[in-house]
Amino acid sequence: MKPRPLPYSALVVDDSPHMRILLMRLLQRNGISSIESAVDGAEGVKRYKSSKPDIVFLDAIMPEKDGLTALQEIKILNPDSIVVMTTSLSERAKVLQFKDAGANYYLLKPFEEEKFIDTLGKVVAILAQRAKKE
Amino acid sequence: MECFNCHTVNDEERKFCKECGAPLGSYCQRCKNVGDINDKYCGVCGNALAVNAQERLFSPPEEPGTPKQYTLDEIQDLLSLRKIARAEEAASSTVTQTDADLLFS
Repeated sequence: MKPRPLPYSALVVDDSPHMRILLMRLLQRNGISSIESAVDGAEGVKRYKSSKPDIVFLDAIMPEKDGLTALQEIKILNPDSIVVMTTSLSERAKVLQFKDAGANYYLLKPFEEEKFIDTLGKVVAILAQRAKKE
Repeated sequence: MECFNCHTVNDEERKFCKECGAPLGSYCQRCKNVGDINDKYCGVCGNALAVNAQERLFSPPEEPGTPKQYTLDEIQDLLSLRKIARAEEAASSTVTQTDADLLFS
């Protein structure tokens, strides 16, 4: 069954081409077709500035600019941005750093498609609620 | 008194085993007093004491020149206990997806 198209845009920031493709396919399969990608934190922040996507999927360990720095900069640009961390970092101290920096969700790699869909559903619910208020 | 570690029979008045140096009573890590074998708290400083032989293995006397001799079984026990402690420490310092969900809910 073809998913209902969703009127939201997404930015995928990951230095792994495999992960970028995987996340983009998952997004497409779940109704999001407006997707951009970036290969590191620096390009991610640049693309966020220019296109203001509704959702950001952000890796943590990347060259140029790491995920934490990129997250902090995105949150300065837009405190209401929705950022889903997609990372294999599981050290509690690190995870808490991302939480403190304003990350909205945390997906531990490798994750199941069901988990991704569940998280995307939560993000879409927030975006729909915001749209209603406006 | 029989030493819990090497089972050498020692004179009653001895505080440390004449063969292996293990404490023959309850050994206090804080003030180094050796009290009665059944003491739960140190009679000198009030510190809570290790109450069994295995716990005492973790607090051997730190007197110079009295190195503690462990049997192979004891060494294996200590290593497996250390492994468990390390695994528990690692588990508590990392998060699962469920933990992350709770943190970010």
